[in-house]
Amino acid sequence: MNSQPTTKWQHATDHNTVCRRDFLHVGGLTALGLGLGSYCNRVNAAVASAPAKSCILIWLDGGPSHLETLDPKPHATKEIRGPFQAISTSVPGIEISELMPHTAAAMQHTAIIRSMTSPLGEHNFGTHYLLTGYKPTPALNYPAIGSVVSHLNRRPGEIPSHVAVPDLRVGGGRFVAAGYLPPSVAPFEVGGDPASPNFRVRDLDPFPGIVDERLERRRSYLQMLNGVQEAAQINPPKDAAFEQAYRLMTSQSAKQAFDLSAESDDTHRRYGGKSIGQCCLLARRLVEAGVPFVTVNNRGWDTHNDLVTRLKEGYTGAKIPVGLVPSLDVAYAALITDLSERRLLDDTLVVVMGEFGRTPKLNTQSGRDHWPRVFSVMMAGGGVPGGQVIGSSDEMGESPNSRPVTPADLAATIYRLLGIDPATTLYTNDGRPVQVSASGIVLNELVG
Amino acid sequence: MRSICFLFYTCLLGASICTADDIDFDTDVVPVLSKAGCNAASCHGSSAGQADFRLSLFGGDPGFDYRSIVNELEGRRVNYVMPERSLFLTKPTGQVDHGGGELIDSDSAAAEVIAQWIAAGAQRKRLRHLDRLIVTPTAFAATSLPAELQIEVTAVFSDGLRRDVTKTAVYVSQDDSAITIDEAGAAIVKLAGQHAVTVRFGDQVTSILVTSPIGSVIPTLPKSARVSWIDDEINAKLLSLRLAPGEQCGDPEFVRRVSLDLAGRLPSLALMERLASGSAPINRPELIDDLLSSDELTDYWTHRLATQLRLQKPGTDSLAANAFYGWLHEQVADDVGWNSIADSLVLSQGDSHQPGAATVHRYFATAREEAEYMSEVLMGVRLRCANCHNHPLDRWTQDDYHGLAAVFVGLDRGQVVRFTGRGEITHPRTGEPAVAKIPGQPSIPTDVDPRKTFADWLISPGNNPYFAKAMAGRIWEALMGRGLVSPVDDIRATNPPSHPELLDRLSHYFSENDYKLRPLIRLICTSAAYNRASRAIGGDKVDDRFYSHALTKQLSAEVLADAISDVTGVADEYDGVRRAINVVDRTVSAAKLEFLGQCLPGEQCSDAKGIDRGIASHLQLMNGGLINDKIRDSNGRLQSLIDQEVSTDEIINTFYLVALGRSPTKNELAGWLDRIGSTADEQERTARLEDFLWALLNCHEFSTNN
Repeated sequence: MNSQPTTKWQHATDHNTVCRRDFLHVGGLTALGLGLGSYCNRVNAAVASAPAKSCILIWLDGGPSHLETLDPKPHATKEIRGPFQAISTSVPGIEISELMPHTAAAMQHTAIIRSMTSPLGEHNFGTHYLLTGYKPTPALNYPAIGSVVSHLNRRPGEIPSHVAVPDLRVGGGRFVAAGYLPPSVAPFEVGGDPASPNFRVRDLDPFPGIVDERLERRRSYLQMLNGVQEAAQINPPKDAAFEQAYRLMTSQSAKQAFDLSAESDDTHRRYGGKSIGQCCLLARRLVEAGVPFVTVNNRGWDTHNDLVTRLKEGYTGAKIPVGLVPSLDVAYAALITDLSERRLLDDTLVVVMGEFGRTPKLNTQSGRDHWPRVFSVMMAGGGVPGGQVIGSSDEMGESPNSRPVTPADLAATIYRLLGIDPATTLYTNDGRPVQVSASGIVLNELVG
Repeated sequence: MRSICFLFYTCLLGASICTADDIDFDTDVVPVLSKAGCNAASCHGSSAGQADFRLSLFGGDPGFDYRSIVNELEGRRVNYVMPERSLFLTKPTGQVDHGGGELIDSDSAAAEVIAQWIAAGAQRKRLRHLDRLIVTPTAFAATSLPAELQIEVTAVFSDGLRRDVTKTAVYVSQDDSAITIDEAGAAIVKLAGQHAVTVRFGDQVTSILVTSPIGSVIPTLPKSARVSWIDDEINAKLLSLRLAPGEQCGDPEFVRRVSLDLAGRLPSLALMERLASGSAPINRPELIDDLLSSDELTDYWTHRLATQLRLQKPGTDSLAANAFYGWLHEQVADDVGWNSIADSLVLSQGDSHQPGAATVHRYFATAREEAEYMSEVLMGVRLRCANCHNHPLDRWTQDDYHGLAAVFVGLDRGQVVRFTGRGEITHPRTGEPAVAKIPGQPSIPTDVDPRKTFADWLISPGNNPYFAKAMAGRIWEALMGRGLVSPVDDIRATNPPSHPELLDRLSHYFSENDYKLRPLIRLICTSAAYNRASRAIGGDKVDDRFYSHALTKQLSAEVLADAISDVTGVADEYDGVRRAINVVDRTVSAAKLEFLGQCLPGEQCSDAKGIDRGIASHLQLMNGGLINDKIRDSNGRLQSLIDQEVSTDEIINTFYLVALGRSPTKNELAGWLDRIGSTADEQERTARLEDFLWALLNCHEFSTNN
């Protein structure tokens, strides 16, 4: 079901604009009849202790192999072990793939969950489950975690509260991030390739010759036209996306957050020359500017064939490996250390995940196929105690061996880390109450 | 004493099994496990199992379950000497410590089935298999809320045995806040609208649609609410929901709608001027026929089908993409049946630079990906879930998935596509090469090209329940704004259509008319449902799926870009192609259209995608060249009108007609004249007119098909 704007959610939205940041802590309190004023005051204390102000989600689209990243099996047979070895990390006893030396060096900041498990081995379905914390159902489209955060957290600021770098084209198509929430909580997709030398977030500046006065006139003309149609409708589209776009383009400071060229060459190099690195750098700028949720989308992890080229080398015979894993490794480690140096790491939750893992045994094309039964996720910052591994897979990397964690549990944990009570009630367009996370159990190891 | 109890309880279970020897593992024991939830994903049916005991999800693989229970753990789960001490019985009944607690009462019939089965030697006799389920009622309409409903389920087995399994079947409400249902099939309907309940027994699943009135009064149907049997189906649903059908739309609204839907473009200014002048009303069926025979329709539906078929260039091979597109264009121009197109897709081979379908085999590196693709685009079925385990909520098994992959394994996917018959797919469960087979069917003999068998099965109306439905459903969605199954390519027993009979009849009509697109398009476009006004009536009742009024459709990126070109009178340029819908390689147009929600090559998209434009899209329309360059182009429509010294109100009227398909209302016109006409400065007037045109091209009414 795709959400159409209705009076019901507008009602909820109106409440939220009053003290949205606080609203998220009280969940169902409105049902108890507490006045707005009273709970706004009451929960301010709780806000101060909310650990993470922002979240950067690094999405590895297509399903990253757990065996070639965070859960290597160096002692298994070759067809399970695959082409790569394991290395030790800065935390004694934790080993990860040799393709991730920089991540290994930053392991003290990082928590790995090695016992993620899901029944959904199809890109669309798996993506929906991981990004929303709900299994897909025909009855309701659930919103992405980032959209929920945006919905609950959004103050009418100049910069959008949910940004995707470069986009949120995930799971092979059809993922509607806003779910049943109003469409204005869909992410701002900046587009383009941040790794290209001339990258700019496009269309932030007015068209040549269009002065401020004309911008304002266009806006008023547009309101006049849409107003006529809205008056004729029961559920008029509320064009918050246009207003967000307008606020962004008319704010110099907001636009600066998107200006990747303001970073030094050294910083650019530090994050690596590939798209994922420069996307992470842009994400850091956005978080610094106060964006609560940034998704970095990195495509190409659906590696059914040739792991050596795709995961390690990047192209056949590469001297310096620039494949998916080394590029992630450089980008992730740079992001964590950069955030740490800027004293932003405690306020910024970083999550790295994809929709599932890969089959324990190599296939006949030296690749691995979809495998949701067990896979790994890594997290850092935002109050997450680093240097730990949660759960384990069996000796083949085939099934969880201990502490199975579902995507619903993971979502509930992310919400908690961002100061959102998973039991908070949201409303669909026809007024149905839905919990932010209904079945997920927060992982105590991560919330400290 | 114990044996007397056995006899007593099993006779309660069903009159036909009164002796221990008759207990069948697959059809008696496994359903007990399903009912108790033992094989659910949260318990032993989890892909990881639970506490080192794993069952197949929802009992999808009784052979696996049998081995787990009888052979694993050195056989300690069953105690032949003292059946009642078997772990398989003492665990679920809570007699020994069980992480899942007490799930089966030790005095229950279910416990007796297990005990008796073990006592008889714990054999897997395979006495019978489930043939079909009879579920009553098949649909239910409540008249007031809350309403109670008792579901009854009868299992019919291969040996002719019929058994009431109401108490052993598993019920799942698709939406707990709308319907609750207990273990014995007693449901309470709590929310108005239409909701589904899924009934599962053994390896079969079926759904019941439950409706209850949304409106308070039973509406009267005006005569105009019925044109064809489509309307009978739609109206019956509206009546049961007490939703009043909206009135018919006016001619201008209809002309704009049908032009955009059929030809992907706005109607001509000349036509809209004629309509606005109030001369003779339009003959709608004639207009539909004109459009159906137009080249524009061929172009637009070629683009639609290419998108649906996820056309992409293999690597950098543009020639192969062009050849495929040219072939598809020919098929649409000649109104070749969809069955014939599908047949060509599956069987195509040869040089992919020659016009033909062979390029399709080059989209993928592996047979598995191609099998998934074929099942999705041609049957609307997602097999992928069956890749690693049996599809939990439907009938697809791992054997089906890997068997279908094996159909496509023998292809050489170079520029010249050849069937070599070499290569194999490994079945992950057996570790052996998978045998080519058609989903839900026996294996294909090894001495034939399995693609031929698959293609024959795919397009055979008697055998394949999905093929006609999938395409008829897509055409319906394209025209009506919402699929009868939603999402449109997720057809399965647990995702029932909103109007099952209508979908069946549309599919039947489609196949009766040789799977040609045009007759079905004509039929839908002439229905009263298609001809309704887009404005909903009936107070604040939300109807986004029952077609009481026309649903608003967002223009696709390509159609919107072409409409902007047509309104401004300035064409686009995509590597020599002037209209976005004629672009073969969508990576070429993506630079301009990606932000407008364009479906990129290889993506699976539907018309329901991209309902609302995001921030990036607004920024581009506001600040980018797509609109701004065209607005002020010296050869464009606006500048020409200004050069011809056309009056402001005529300019406004012209743009309303060409962009929105209507004249401005008196108030609107007065508003614009007030804003634009109040300056004598020519430059300022031009700037204001440009801003008016900009706003017009950005407003909701323009960027949607209402």
